[in-house]
Amino acid sequence: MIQIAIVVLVIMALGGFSTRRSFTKRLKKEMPSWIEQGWVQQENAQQIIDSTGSQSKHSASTAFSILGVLLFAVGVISFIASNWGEISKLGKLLILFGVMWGAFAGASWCRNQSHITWLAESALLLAVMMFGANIMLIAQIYHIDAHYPNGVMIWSFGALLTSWMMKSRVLFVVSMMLTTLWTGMESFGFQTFHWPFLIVIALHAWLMVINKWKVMAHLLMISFLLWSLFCISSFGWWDEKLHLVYLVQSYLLFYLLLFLSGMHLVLEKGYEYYGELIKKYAALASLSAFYVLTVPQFLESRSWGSGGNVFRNPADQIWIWVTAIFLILLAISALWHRSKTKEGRIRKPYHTWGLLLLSGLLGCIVINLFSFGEAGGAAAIAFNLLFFASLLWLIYFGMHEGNRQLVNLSFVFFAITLLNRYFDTFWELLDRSLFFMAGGILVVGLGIVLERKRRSLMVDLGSDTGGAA
Amino acid sequence: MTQNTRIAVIAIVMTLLLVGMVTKKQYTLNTGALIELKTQPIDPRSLFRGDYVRLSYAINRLEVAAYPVLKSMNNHDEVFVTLTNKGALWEAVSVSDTYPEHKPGDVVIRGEINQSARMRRAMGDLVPVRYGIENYFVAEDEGQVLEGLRNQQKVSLQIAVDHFGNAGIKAVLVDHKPLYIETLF
Repeated sequence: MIQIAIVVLVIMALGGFSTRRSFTKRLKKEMPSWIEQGWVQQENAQQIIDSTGSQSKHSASTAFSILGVLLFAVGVISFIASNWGEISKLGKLLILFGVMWGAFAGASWCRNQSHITWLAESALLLAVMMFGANIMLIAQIYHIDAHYPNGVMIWSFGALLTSWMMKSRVLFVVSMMLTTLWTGMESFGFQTFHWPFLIVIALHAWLMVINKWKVMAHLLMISFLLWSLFCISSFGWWDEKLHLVYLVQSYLLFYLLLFLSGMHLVLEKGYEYYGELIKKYAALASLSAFYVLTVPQFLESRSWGSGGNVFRNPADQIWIWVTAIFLILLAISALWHRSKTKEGRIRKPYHTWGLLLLSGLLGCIVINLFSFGEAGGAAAIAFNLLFFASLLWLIYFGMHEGNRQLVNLSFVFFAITLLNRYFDTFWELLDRSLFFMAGGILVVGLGIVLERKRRSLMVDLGSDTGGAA
Repeated sequence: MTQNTRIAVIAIVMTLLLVGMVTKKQYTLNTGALIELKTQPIDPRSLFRGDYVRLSYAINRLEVAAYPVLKSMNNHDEVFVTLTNKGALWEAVSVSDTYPEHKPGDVVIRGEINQSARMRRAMGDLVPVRYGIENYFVAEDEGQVLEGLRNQQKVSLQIAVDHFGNAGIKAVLVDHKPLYIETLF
């Protein structure tokens, strides 16, 4: 985990450095024409370029100083570890607290030195890393054998507190990663539905919004989707494998609800960016869950029970309740969106088609709840038709909303599903050599056609939004 | 609030959290009633260094037949086990889901049911319970010494149990004599 954290932090820092450098290069290139247009005064031009250039240098320095403090923290831990027997308890405590306080003092000192202000961020990171090391080593020194994810939770709290008080993006990343680790430990180690994660992620979201750290929304969404997957371990699905179909259906409804939340957020002034982002991630998650539901064998859910080869049974009452709750929430959300778009006269025809498609999907899901596994083939046909219709709708939706990632995502799922259906259908029917030859031609043909279509749509999208394709 | 003050506040909060961890443990060790439990150590490696000994006690596996209250309890529920002195060692006499009234001289230890659905099937009538005294860190290679003594059935643990039922390892005993004693520094 520590190695992953180091790699992510350094990549982010170097990524920021490289982005800023290319931004400076572009500024230098564009500046003469901006001066000519009269948008920028000649005397200000050099100051602007110098300012971004110096920030770029600091980004590189920050990246290396982050790497340096992480190595230093690992060194301190290793020193204590390798001299565990020789150093007294008091000695260990003095070293651990001393390094943590020293890092805080260093951060404070760097903040007051104009030429190395950027180093304060790294010193704070060192302090937070040492806080985590202290939690673990003090637990080891005093044989504290508590609920082990609590250690990571306290560490994450320390990182979040520091991020909030010092407006540190690096520590926000650290805190998010620790929070995700914490929920993973709780979910997999103790098989509990880890709802406290929602409170912590809400705190992160609040911090992100007040500081306008828009790019952090990606991290938040990834963490949230991971949590949603971790939750599977708390549902005990391995006990009742026959319920997996209904679990996936419930996940699909949940992710659709998330997608609709994104659509709502797009309508709120100042939150459009977050809405678009939620839509992208929710579309990815929804399509993944929906894709699973297009597999006939999965819908049949055969298992070798005591009675031999048996199909799944209709859903238990719990799944009917879960589905009913999601259906009500989805209906309220969709109708609310409809009324909001009516007020602003921004409702588009594809909103209505989307609503119809959603109704069809919900109908299919409800029917499937009461069906036996023998009807899995018929259910698969219905889900496949709806899946392809949804992809077409999403392409159309992405085109008109200027969201190219949605268009790309739909094309990827379109290609994967088409190939999958080819395998399902012709694996048994065709001779093997013919199957692979036809499959090869299909892959090449599909690649050419879809890529050509995608590019032409991107060009249209670019001309609509004024961006590059 | 200035930046320096903010840094000071963060440093103080973090320090208090760490000191709180130690204080809570020391409160149990300094104020708790001392009991002795027989154990069988096993030794997987620590995340860092030194040997990390996992300890198992008889009270880690409670029988539903002997304590029917366990039947209605779920994973992670709090459980209070009353222990009584039987010679040098202590044994469970009753189990409750709330802190129980107990005879003078008896001790109540607080635990947590540690039984997932999978484990429930595997262990049948036995319910696993954790008390937070199942791990002990010793210097490198000393775990193997304990392992040898374990095989000779010589190792027991002196446990401090405070008024709330929280437990902590006070000393590792070999032939009822202290091998390691826990101190603040």
